[in-house]
Amino acid sequence: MKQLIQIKEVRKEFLLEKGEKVSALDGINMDIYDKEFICLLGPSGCGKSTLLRILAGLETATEGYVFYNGEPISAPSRDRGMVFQEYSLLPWRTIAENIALGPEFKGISRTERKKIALDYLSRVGLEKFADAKPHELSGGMRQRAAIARALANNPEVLLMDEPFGALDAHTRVLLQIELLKIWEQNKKTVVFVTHSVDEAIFLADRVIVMTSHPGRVLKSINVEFARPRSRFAEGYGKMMEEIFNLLEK
Amino acid sequence: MKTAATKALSIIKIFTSLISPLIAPLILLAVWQYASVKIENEVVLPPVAQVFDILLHPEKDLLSMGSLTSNVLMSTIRVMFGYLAGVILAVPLGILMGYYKKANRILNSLVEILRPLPPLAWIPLILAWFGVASFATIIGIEEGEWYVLLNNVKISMLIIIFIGAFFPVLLNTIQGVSCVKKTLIDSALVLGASERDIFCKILIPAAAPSIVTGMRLGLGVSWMCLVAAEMMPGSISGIGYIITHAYTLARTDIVIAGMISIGMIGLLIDVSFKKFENSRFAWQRLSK
Repeated sequence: MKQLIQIKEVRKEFLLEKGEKVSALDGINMDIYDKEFICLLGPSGCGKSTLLRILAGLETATEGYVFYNGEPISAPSRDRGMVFQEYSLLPWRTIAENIALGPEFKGISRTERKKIALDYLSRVGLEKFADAKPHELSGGMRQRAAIARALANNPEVLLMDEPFGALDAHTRVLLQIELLKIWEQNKKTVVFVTHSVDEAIFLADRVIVMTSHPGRVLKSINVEFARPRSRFAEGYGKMMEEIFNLLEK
Repeated sequence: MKTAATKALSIIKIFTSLISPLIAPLILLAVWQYASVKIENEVVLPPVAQVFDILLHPEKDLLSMGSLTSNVLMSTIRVMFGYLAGVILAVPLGILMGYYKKANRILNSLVEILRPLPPLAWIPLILAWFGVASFATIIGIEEGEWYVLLNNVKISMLIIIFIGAFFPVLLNTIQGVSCVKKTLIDSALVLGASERDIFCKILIPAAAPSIVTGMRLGLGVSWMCLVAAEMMPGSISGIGYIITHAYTLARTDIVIAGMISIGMIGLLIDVSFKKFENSRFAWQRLSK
């Protein structure tokens, strides 16, 4: 399998207002392979979102190296799309205009953009809401639109920062299933940040368990349940128990 | 039955929404009329009818200073020039100061020192620098119809009006840009936005409601500075000039008519701005 992302001895320090230094990440080593679905799992404060932002190019590591396709990551790139927890759609634009944002930045013509937007809207089942504004949509629909927007830019990697964290339990499960469906059709590399053990096991090929203060990698666990997955598969509960025990330490 | 009842109810609603804003001004008019009858001195307080007679015939010449309309027009031209200059400078500066923390750190102290100065405090300095120079002086016209018009637009007036407009627009723009959610900028960056895209497609539209609020407040302050600006030496027209000149001739009716004109124009500006804000920036109200 092709190695897509390499993370070597990454440390990230933040400067607090009082001048104190806090290290959010320390000694992170990780390899992420092409087409892999990775979940970064850990309690809040373990730096998983910071790590994701470093991969996106929105933050730089204080020490260490991050390579993407063999090149060091220094700035955001359209190759690495990102879905945020919430409020990332431009509230003054319609859903279709939001989804066409990536192509718009690329300089694609208006008619072509519209076609791309409608195509991706139908993939997430929002074709009826093309001309609606974000505030007219429910939280779940907004996150679908945010996923469609990231995909419409045709990135190689999809970075997802607790995208379902603000949704109710039912919608969350529905969107997990939908995300897997989209992933199987498009086969992107996905790095998904979550603090839900269940979500991580349900989605990932590999779960990377992290600890906090400072954030470190505790263990990388391969999840080998057959897809489409069921939460009632044999061993599912056992794996949950195993990971919960890891996190408790 | 039910529809007739709701119809009647909605008519009452429309009626009250139209009437209720008029109640307070009408009471004021009544008090004014009563007081003027009691006082019986039209220099202290002229009767309502005398003032409205001036307002209802705005084309009539007043004390050979020209008509109310032409003076209001002259004032409007002055306000527009000074105000537009203020907006054109304050909006880009505000966007830069709101987005780049470094620019803010460098400029903020200066802004905070200059901002509390009342625009009127600048008058002596501005007169010392610009005197009675006007557009006509700059362009170099010395006679003819255009001279009269251009000579009435004094540089020093425009600067007072400019100062009045500048700070409300600047502060609201800074506020609007610095409050843009970081996720919006981040999500545009990962979609491949250039710096220019960030400014034109994220920061400006996101801050637009705040910028327009600043423009509304700035225009209000500009109007307030107008009277002061038109009291400066060399001014021979404008609504502010009419008010001060009528005052020296003890024509209180003209003074009040001038004040009401300024108030009406201010109201008109405010209402049209708010209407624009409500129609264009509904997303802001609704996305909360």
